[in-house]
Amino acid sequence: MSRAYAWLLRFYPAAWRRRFGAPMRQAFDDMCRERRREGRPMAGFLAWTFAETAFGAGREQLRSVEMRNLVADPRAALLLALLLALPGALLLSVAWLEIEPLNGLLATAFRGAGLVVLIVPLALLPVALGFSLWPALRRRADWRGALPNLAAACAILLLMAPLLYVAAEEFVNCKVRAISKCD
Amino acid sequence: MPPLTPTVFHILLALADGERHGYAIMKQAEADSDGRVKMGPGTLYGSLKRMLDAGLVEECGPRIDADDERRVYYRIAPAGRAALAAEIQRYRSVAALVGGRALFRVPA
Repeated sequence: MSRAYAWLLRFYPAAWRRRFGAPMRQAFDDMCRERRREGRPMAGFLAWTFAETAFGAGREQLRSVEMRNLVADPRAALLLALLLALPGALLLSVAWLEIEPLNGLLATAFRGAGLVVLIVPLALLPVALGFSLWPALRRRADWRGALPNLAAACAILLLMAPLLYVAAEEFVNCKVRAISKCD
Repeated sequence: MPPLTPTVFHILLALADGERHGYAIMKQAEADSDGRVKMGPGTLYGSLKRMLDAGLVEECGPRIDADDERRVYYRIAPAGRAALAAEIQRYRSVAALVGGRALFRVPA
């Protein structure tokens, strides 16, 4: 777990990691050790700590650099791209894996709000794609440093395809063929 | 002096009676607040960074503890002690105001 936490700390700005990386990892190790010693459950604690630290990394990235520098830094751009792609990924996961009760709620929302439920997460995906590709395009000579960003761009493209298909199908059914069930 | 956030207040309170490392600050803040203030490393070090920049706390440097672990300790700075005293005075004023007006009555 300590290694996974250390990996997560890589999303903090470099200057931050140099100053606080070791103490943060030490604090995390201390927390884990004490919970294990007391026999307390770990799953909820780990989920909360990882989420809290990921949120902290995003906040410090936003505080440490201007937006144009943010998108030039591969790690910061990757974090931003993943955050923007998250609604689309969640939407697709819930619908594909039929995770209840979220799937039922999603179906209800779709009947009420229609295509908006699809279009908002879908519209964020090209922005996420842009953020993930930008460091590689900007540093063409050193594109290997942006390999995780290119992998994320491929994942985002894979995510866009089914969502685009569903949105297009709904649009054709509702607007072109004017099928009454869409009303 | 502007009011302190609950996190900053509890970090200063935890450091008021001695130097502590990150995890000790988290535990002390949780104990002082009866479990209401729960900080993870992200929140704690985010606040510590801003408090270091504002001169409220100081780094004492790393030490080897009894369990052979190397930990960075922090201590409250004079500006932090002044901010904590001002915040406690603010709480006292509010408590006195509430008590004076008998806004809340203890049920019989």
